Amino acid sequence: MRIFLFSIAILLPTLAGLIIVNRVDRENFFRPTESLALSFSVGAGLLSFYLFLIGILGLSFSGFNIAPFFVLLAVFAKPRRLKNLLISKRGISGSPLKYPQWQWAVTITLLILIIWKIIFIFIALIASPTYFADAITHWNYMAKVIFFNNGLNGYPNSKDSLSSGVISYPLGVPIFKAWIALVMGQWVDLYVNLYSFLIFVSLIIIIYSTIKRYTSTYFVPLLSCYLIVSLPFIPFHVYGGYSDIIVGYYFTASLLFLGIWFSFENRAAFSLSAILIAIGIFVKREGIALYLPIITLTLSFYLMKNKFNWGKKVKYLLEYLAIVLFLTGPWLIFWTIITFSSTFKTISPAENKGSLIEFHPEVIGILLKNFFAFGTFNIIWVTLFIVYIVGFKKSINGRTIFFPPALLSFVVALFPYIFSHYFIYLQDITVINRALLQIIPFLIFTAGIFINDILTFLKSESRKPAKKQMGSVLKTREDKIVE
Amino acid sequence: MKNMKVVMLFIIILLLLFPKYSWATAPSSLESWPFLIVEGEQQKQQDGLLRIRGDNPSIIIYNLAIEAEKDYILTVRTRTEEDLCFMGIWWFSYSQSNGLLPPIPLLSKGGFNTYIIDLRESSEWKLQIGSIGIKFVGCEKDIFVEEIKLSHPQSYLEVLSIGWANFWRAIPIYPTTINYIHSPFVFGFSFILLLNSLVIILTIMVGLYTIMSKKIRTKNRGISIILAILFFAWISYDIRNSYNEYRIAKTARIDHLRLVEYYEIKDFYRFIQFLKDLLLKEKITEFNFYTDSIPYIEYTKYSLYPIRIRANKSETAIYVIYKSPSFYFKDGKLYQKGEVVAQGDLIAVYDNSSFIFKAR
Repeated sequence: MRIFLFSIAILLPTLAGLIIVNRVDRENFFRPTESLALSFSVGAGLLSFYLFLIGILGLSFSGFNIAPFFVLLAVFAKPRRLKNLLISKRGISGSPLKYPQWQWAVTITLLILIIWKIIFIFIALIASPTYFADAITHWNYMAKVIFFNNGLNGYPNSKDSLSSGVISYPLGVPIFKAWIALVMGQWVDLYVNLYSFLIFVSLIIIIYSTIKRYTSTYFVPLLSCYLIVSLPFIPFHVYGGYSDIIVGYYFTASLLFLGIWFSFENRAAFSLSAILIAIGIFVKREGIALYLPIITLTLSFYLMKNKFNWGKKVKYLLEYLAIVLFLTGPWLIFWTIITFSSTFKTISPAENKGSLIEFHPEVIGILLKNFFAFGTFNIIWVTLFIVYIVGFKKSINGRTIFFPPALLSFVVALFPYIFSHYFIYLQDITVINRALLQIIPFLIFTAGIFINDILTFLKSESRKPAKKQMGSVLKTREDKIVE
Repeated sequence: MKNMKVVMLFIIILLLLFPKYSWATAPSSLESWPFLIVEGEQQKQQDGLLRIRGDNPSIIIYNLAIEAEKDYILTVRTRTEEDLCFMGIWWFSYSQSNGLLPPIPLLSKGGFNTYIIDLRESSEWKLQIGSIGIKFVGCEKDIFVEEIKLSHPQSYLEVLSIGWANFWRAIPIYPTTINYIHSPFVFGFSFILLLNSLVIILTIMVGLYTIMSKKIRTKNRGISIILAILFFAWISYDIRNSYNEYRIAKTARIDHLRLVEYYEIKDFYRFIQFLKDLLLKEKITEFNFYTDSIPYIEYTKYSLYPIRIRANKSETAIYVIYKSPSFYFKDGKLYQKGEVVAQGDLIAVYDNSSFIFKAR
């Protein structure tokens, strides 16, 4: 019965998301699995926005009050033929070259490893209680408060809400966790924490599908997915009850779809990118403080590279921000009030002490130790450094569009810990790795694109007679991407 | 040529067996530690074994004068019948610094197990060590200790075997795992640091060679080799990490009441279940909660919500005491450090330092 109710809790927002995705994706551009992954994450996010809205209006989370969300979407839906849902156009296939047989063996091994890792994470999840500090004091606790109060009853004034971690934390994750419990009619840690797992699976699907658009082989997309699932830090965040992997998903997916829009001129990807970052803003404060600026700068960069006239460029930028503001508006107004209100002081030590801009010379030593002597992220920093350097030189023109946002993400993610009073979170290594976890999927995606280009380059070099033909194929593709 | 290979093999084996150091101090056994103190119940068996039990009992050895550089291998030979418990190791050096290692999971099967731990895994194992402590966490049944000694490897073969054993030692989940993950150690060095260094050195070597080469084919081969180095280094760490994941999955129990037992929280889950049943039965919606461990307050608040707790306050009639020996009940009164807190009755007793009291 529990599994059935949980399935309903996931299926309803997924259907809602599917309606949005299908409505936006008029060209039927996305693959079915990709659409499904997107549908869940978009549906979960939009439902959270809706529940927040009715919550601050003082309405309870009853079936009667929630029903309009689904009814409205059902009216909005334009059911298409089943065939359209199952068959989709694929992106431009990147590599015209076939890889040697040994890569097939490695590819199958990678697939087995990915499946094993996901199974392991699932086993650990179903056997794990909510254990880690922030999940206990905020993420799951706040969700439990919402669930037992059947709404945002008195938030943030109520005693229970105030005893949560930091009052200005966005409510997207607690609200969706409360939704799962509401549909199930009871609070069960296991099912509530499955939310992160489903987002994690969506992340893998989105990463795989997007890289697959840029290559004709399975090797590089699977390698990229393997690099993500094999990060030692990942499992604990998939079942730990924290929100870093969730905000990381929304940020990564938003950037990827912005890239798809640029590469393939797909309008659906543009709108979805805006929707995804809006949901990301409602997941963690980094969404508005760090990731929206990164996305906006990336969008501006892509617009600069485009051949649109200035009017159209401004129109795109405004349209993007309008979608974001439309969805996040109620939360942002609410958040501004509670953040700047003297009534609600945050508990976070860094926010009440120290000056805004600081620099501590010892930061370099701590960062080096964290990057190279801890097992948190395997050998990712050396790997990314080398792949980016080699890849940038060998990259097919038009593919380097992912490099500037990757670099920007890395710099922005580290900036607060190096140049502000948030240094204390680097010093005690409490937040820094979680901040890096949020951007790492995108960094790995960029590395995946580069690896594909390096392999393509090496292959074309090893087959000298095919070089001329290869050059012409790439040029055509490059032109298409740049255009 | 074949004979040469045999000779080479023979020489390598001889080298490995060759004493690494001279036989300096003979390793001390448990019997010879003069300042061994046990916190918890203890009993010395006739066969020389030390049997201890209690609430996270520990063994502390004072008045040592160990040269950290010289003796860095801690050997603990112990037996426990617990499914999953841990050994925490810490020390104080005369330089006023102190160190500790991540908890070490203890094995429950196969009688006595010998744990050989390279203390150089902590950068705080330095100078002269004054005392060393071993805490058994989550071990509720008897623990038998046969031997504790500090020594150094006697041959290169021993260096290899200790390095190998320490490399595969499981790293359990504990509160800081959500923020960072320790690397396994090999020969006293962080494995990930070794891998990173190796990758950087090899990449520089291959890179320089390919840059200097004028042949395009060599340059391209250099790129392939660099990618292969990265891939195999990544896989190497992942194999070790997968083993750890397997160990964690193996200890996970899929059970509604007793979920996976994390470091230091096993008894707490039992207590919460006990408390929840009682509170529901007595229809209690709020209580004063006292415990010596702050994390338990947050866990309790989360686990029992919507039942509300008043941490370290006396605002309601119900007092819940968990693992707080300063509280006791006597003659219808609740005392804290000898002072009367309230008059009333005991509702339930969980253990010596945990009970539920109702004020009149």
